[in-house]
Amino acid sequence: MNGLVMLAQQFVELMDPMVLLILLMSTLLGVIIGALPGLSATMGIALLTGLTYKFPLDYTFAILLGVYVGAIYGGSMSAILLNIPGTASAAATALEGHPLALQGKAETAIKVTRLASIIGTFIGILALALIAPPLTSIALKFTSPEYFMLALFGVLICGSIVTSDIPLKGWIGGLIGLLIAQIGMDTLQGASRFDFGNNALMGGIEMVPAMIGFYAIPEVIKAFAKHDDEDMTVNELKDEKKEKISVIRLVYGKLRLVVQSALIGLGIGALPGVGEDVAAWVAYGAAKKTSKEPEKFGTGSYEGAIAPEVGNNAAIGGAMIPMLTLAVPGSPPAAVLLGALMIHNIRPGPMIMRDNPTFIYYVAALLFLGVVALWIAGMILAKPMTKILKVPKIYLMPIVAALSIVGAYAINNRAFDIVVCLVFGVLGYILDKMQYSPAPIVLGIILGNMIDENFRRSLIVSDGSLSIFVTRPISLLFLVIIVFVIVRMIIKKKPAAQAAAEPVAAASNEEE
Amino acid sequence: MKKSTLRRADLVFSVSLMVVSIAAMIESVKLLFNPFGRDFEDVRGDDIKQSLETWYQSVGLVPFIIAAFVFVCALCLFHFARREGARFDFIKLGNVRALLKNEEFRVAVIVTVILSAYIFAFMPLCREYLDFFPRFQAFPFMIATFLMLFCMMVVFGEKKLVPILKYFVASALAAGAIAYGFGMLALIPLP
Repeated sequence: MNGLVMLAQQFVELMDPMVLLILLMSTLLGVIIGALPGLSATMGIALLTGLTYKFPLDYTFAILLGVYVGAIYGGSMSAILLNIPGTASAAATALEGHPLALQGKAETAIKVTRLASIIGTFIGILALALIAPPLTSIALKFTSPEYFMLALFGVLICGSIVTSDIPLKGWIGGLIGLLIAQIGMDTLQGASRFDFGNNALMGGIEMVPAMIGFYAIPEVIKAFAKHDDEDMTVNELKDEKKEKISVIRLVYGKLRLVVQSALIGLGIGALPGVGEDVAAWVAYGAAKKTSKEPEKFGTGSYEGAIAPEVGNNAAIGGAMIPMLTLAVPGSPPAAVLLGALMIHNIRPGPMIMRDNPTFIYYVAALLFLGVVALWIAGMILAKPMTKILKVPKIYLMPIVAALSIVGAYAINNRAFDIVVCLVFGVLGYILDKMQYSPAPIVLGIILGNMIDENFRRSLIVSDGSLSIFVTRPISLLFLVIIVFVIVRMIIKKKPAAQAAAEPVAAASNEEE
Repeated sequence: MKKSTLRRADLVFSVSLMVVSIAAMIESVKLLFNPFGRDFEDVRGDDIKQSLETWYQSVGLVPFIIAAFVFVCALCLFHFARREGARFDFIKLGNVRALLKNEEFRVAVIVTVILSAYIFAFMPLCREYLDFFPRFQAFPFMIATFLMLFCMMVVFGEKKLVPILKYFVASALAAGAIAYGFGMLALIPLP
């Protein structure tokens, strides 16, 4: 009850016309970012974290959360109209959405995915508002060994799930991120590590320039390397033959599917670093398995379009739960958001309810309003989207490159950060070609300091005895899970994202 | 990327990782005995003894463990790539030529060169020689950004007069909007 009162209070506080306008504008921007192939939710948030650094906090959070909600939905628009998913999380939507567009049902498909996205986001936020505050009281029992194990668990599980090649690459990515995080001044003794006499390195690698580099620069290179502008056909938005059934009734008729996909999205969203794209694939796979008409999947099934959209949007709330309560982000965009909160001196984690008792409700209320903004943005952009999608990448991608440099510089006003952005951009591109996902690396950079500090603090408390990690129940539980995950991945040798995507990819290949 | 090429890349990357991890382990051991970077002549025997007794407090402990894990993973990757058939027999002149002719490699190099020129040449030079307007301090950045945008658009776009004119206008407008919008309106410090 107290929680609902606090949530209501936050709604009242957010009724500032300027904040609402900014939220709407940023959701519009998010939908466009999500829809344009090559621009992703993570990249958009990473860029805007730097660019909005000097803005008042209310405006900054409205912008970042608006872009997050908008971009996750926006990817489905280009997936339906172009058969090119604007974001990775909309790849599953393309399998059903585009065949629907080819059948002359693009308008209905877009409306259905919009409603599914709104329901998914709504369920995710509801879970955030209900689960996150009590979870912080459990998390208050955490001390250094538990934090160490939690952070290690986050990096390892992310590494084992998101890679598209062998699981080893995910772990290598996480370890590279952890090693990068060790550069600079240590927090316990103030000694500088791996600076090689360079003063700039003594300050460490800032996470925002590194994230912008990893997510933006490789996309610029990949966009110019692809030659798909010439044969890009954007389907007409208007339905050729009007669907008799209303969109609300259509989605309501699939209530079981909606609840199933939302729960999948929530659960996968809450797993550290995994994120919306895996949630979408798993929700799609589960929908196909449990459908009464699985043969329709791949030929333009509304069920197949609803499931991934509910799943990936519910993952937003799911990803925010561990991010706010444990400081372990549930998805790559949440990882970037965590970085944004940290640079604005908000420390997510168990203490958040003590330090900022209203913050979780503030985020939940802002996301609720973001859902309304998403509804409006979806309606406003539905018609002009066919034109927006025709903007050639030759104009778009150089501007993204320029904005990356501005965003990287804006946090600390250090020229070194621009170099970091470029170096990590090139490194990110090379690693991407070798099928290393940037998510574990970024998570490693974010959690590296937490791992180092809590590991050594635990050993100092136990006078150098490693038994402290196995004599505390929560720490032991995490250790068992970590060992289980590693052993299971070694035996299975196939990452979850790949496993979820394979049957679907096979199905689409059969169609071709 | 073809599977065979991917495994060759894995082979090369695993060796690079081993080198980096060994270097990181050596640096971490140095940190154990000499955390504050003193000259090694100044490190006394007592300091070393104390460092060994309190090894678990060392700033080099976690980096050493991480580097050791990287080394183990790199070894596994090396073994995996070898098992899949990758060998160091691909370093041939023909393959190097093929790589240089590869479209995507060319694009990656060009984008990197243009961005490097933007960061290390256009921006410093414009700041040095074009800081004409004290009330519009974003002007040098605007010119540098315009140069970068225009270069990128011309290099990757159509090489005809009309498109080039369009790129010129688009670059000028975008550079102006970024410099004025972020530098003057939003008061974000520009590089």
